[in-house]
Amino acid sequence: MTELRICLPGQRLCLSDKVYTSGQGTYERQGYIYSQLTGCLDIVEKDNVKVVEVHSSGEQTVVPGQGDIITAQVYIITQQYAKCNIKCVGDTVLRRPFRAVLRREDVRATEKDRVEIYKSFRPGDIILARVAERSITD
Amino acid sequence: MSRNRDLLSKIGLRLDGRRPDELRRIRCKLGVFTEPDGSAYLEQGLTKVLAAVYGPHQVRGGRSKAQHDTAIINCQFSMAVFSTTDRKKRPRGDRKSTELSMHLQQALEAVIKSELYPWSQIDVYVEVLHADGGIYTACVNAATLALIDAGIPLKEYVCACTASLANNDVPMIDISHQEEIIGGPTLTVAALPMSGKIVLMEMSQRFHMDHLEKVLNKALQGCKDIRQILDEAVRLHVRDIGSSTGWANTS
Amino acid sequence: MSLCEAEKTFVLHGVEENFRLDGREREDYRPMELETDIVLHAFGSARLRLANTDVLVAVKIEIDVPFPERSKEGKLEFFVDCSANATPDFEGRGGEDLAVEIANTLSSAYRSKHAFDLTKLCILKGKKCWKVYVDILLLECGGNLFDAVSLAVKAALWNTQVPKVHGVNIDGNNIELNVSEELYDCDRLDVKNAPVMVTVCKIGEKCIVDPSVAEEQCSVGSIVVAVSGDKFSTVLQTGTGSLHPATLMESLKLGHRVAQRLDEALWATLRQIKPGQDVGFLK
Repeated sequence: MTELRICLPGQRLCLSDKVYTSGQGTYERQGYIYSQLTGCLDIVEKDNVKVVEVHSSGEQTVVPGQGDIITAQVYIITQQYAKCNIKCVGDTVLRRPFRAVLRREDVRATEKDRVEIYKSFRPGDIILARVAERSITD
Repeated sequence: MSRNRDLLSKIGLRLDGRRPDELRRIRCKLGVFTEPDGSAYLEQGLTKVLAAVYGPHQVRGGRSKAQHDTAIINCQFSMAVFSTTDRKKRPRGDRKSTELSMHLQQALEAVIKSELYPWSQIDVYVEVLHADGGIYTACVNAATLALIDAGIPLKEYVCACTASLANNDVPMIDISHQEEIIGGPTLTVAALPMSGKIVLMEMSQRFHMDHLEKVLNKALQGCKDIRQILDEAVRLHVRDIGSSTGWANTS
Repeated sequence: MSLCEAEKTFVLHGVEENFRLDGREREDYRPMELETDIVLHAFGSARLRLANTDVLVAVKIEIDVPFPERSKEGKLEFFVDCSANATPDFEGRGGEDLAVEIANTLSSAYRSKHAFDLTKLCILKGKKCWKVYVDILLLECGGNLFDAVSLAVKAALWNTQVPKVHGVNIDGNNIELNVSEELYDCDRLDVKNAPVMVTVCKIGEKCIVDPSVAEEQCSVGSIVVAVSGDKFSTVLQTGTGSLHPATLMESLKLGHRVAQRLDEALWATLRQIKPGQDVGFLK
C-alpha cells in the first residue's frame, strides 16, 4: 500500500464490482474504473468496500459548489445585497477569486426583514459563509 | 501527373527520409511557464507549439454565458507572426484561426469532465511558434499535455494525427508542410486512442472511398503511437515533480 | 493582483532601507537568461527571460522601395503581440493597448540616426532597400516589460544576418538584385548604439529599477528611459502620477547609470554565445 503507483488520465485501474467502487479522481465506464487525474493511486477501506481514489500531486482544482463553506471578502454593499470575492473554499485557497452575492434575507436567521446591510458588513470585511442553492439567475 | 519530386521514392522513403508509417520526432515539456495553471511545449518535427491552460475560474464576460451544469471551454488558436516562411500580417482573428479554435474546442470538449465544474470556465490558449505542417494536430497534443499539467480531470488523452495517400496506393502518416503542398489529399483525425473513438475528422481534396478506410486506420494507429509518447513524457514529468515535492498531499 | 495598504507600506519601507521584497538593492536587476537563434525561419531571433517575464523576438527582412523623401534609408518596423498565454485578459484584442504602446516606444527610440543607422539598409538609392520587421511575442508578463523587450530586440538585431547583395541588373524600370545564395555570406547589423530601455519607478522618496508586479502597483510615478551610447534616445512617462522636476532629473541620471551597466552586461553575454548551442523551451 505504501508503494508509489503513478496513474495517468484514462488509465484503466480495475474492475468495478462489489469489492471496488470509484471514488474521488476516478470514473466508471462499461464496468471498469478509470483514472481522471495524474497522481497517486490510493485504496481506502470504507464500510467493507474498497474505494479507489487518485490524489493529484499538485494543487487541487476546486470550484465552489452548493453547500461548501467559503471564506470571502466583501467589496461592494447596497441596500439589498453585498457582493463578495470568494478567496477560499474550505481549506483550499483559490488562485483566482470567484464572485458571489450575499442577499439581505440570508444575512441572519432571525428578523430577516429588519436587516440593514451597512450595519452588518463594510467593504473589506472577511466573512465565512455557506454556498446556497444555485439558480439560473445567480 | 509529372511532379518534380515524388512523395514516395522508389525505395519507399519520403521527402525527409521517413518511411510511410513513421511519425516525426516528438519532443515535449510540461510546466514551461509559471503564470498559467498548466502549460506545455511540444515539437513535432519542425512544428513548435506552446499551450497554456487557465482554469477553472469564474466565467468572464457576463453571467449570461455561464451554464448551470457544465464548465465552458474557451479556446484560442494563434499563430506567431514569424511562424510561417512568409510573414503573417495578423496573429489571430482571421477565418482560419477562428475555425481552428472551434475545432480545438470540439476536440477538448469530448475529454474534459466539464460536469464537475458548473458555472465556471476553462481557457485553453495555443500559440504556434513555427509552422511546418500538422499544426492542428500539434496543437491538440500540446493542449492535452497542458490540461494534464493543470490537473483538470480528463476522461483520457486526446491525440491527433494527419494521414495522406501517396502514389494513389500507400498511406502515409504525419504530413509535413512540403508534402501537404506537393501532395494529395490530407486527412486530419483527432481521436481518443484508448477507447478508439474519433472526435474530429477533416479532409481536404478528395480520394476514392476504397482508400478511405486504410488511411483512417493508419491515422488512428498514429494517434495510438502519439499517445504512447505523450504518456512516457507525462510519467517522467510526474516522477520528477513528485519526488521533489515529496508527495506531500497523499497519505 | 491588488495589494492592501499594509502590503504597500511594507514594500515602501523595504525600498527606503535598500532591501526590497526579494532582497535586491534599489539598482539591482533580477536574474536574466538570454538565448539567440531560436526561430529557424527568421534571419535573427532572441529569447529573454527576466524572472517571470518571457519575451521572444524574431527579425525578418524583405526587399522594399524606400520612402521618396528618405531615398537613402531602409525601413524598420516593430510589431508587438501580447499572447494570451501571459494572462487571459490578452485574449482576442485585449492586449492591443499595451502592444501598441510598446511598439510606439520602440519606434521612437530607434528613430534617431545615432541609435540605428538606416542608411546601412539601403541597397540602391531611391529604388531598393531592406525592410526589417522586428516581431515581438510576449509570452509571460512578470513586471518590467519595456526593459526585457528592448534587451531582447537588441540581441535579436545583433543576431540578424542580412544577405549580401552581389550585383544589380538594371533593365529600364526592371531592377533585379543578385542576392548571395550562400548561407554564411552575410552582413551583421551594427547595433553598438542600439537603445537599451530602463524603467525607473518612484516609490515613496526613492527610485528603483526593474520593478516586479507588486512594486509596479506601489509606485507613485514611473518613467521609461531609452539610452543609446551615452545619449538619451527617448523618455516616456507611464501610468498615472506626476513627478517633480528634481525627481525627474534624478531618475534620468539613475536610468542612465543603470543602462550603461545593462549594456555592458548584454555585450558580455552576447560575446559568450557560441553558434550551435542547444537552446529553446525544452531545456
